[in-house]
Amino acid sequence: MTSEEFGQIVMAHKDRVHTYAIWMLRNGDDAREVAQESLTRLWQHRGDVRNGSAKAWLLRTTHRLCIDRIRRKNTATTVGLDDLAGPPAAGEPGPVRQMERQELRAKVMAALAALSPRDRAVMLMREYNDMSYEEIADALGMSLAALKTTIHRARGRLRHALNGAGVHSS
Amino acid sequence: MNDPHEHALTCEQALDAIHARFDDALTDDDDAALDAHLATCDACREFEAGLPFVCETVRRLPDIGLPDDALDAVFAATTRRRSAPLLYRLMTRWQTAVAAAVVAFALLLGTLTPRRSPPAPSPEVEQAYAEAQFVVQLTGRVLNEVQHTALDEIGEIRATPAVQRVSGLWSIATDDTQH
Repeated sequence: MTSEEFGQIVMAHKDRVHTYAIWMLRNGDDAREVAQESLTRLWQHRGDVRNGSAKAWLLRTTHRLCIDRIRRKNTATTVGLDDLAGPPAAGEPGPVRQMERQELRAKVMAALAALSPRDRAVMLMREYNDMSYEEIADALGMSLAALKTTIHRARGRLRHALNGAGVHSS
Repeated sequence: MNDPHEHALTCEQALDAIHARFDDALTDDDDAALDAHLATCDACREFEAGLPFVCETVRRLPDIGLPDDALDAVFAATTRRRSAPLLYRLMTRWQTAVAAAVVAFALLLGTLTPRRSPPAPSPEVEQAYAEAQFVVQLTGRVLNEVQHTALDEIGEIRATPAVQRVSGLWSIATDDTQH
């Protein structure tokens, strides 16, 4: 991996790595440090990482760094939902509709934030980062069968949390 | 013929099958068995209907950008640059927008600069330009893509005799409609 390739990989995945860390740690400062560390480690291990598998490698590393930090801190730090919202979506319509969407977004985020770290991790890896079952199982050190069960249950719990918040598919 | 109830799924099995179907990992036999179960089970049918929405809420989570100072620190610690290369900086969204605005302004500035020998417009461009002017001025309607492109191209060659003829034709048409 050349420095040019490293730069391209960093730019392609830095925000996803950072977003994953924020959702896992629910702390902006910790998430930034973890994302920075994960990206730095990619360079240090560039001889071991194929360019095509860099994304999975980064998310696996980010996840492990997050878990380490959670265990060390062992406190439920919280971050405001505004921090999890990200930038406003382009082209959003009038103020009433915007408020409705913001309210919906807040409920979705609250439901996701309330999941256990394991459930949150599998949902983020599978749905947000579009990782395969094999990649996720490798990242989390699980068997495929155990992972499938975990994902199924996580989906069910998130659905239950969304229903409880009054969020339903139309 | 096999008894359709022989392989009937329980709700627990059906839930697993629903997830597998959602992940495109269901065999044809299991697919049929799932459909048979869903035909008689409201709860499972409701779960299947709601599953795509649940997953979509996570898929649509917004990206939260890594702060620039953290990115700079990554590059400083790895490729030994003081900060992210200029090209990479321009790849962030707002900086790309600014860069695009600068480029657009430069192009506009270029169009206002007199040229020594402007290229002659093609007949198609002339015609499209005339149509575009007519449409905009007389009807106020939105230009289509061809007309927009023509206006962009014709902007480069505004002073040519051909363009003046087109503008003249448009002016006559305008006067006609005002009477």
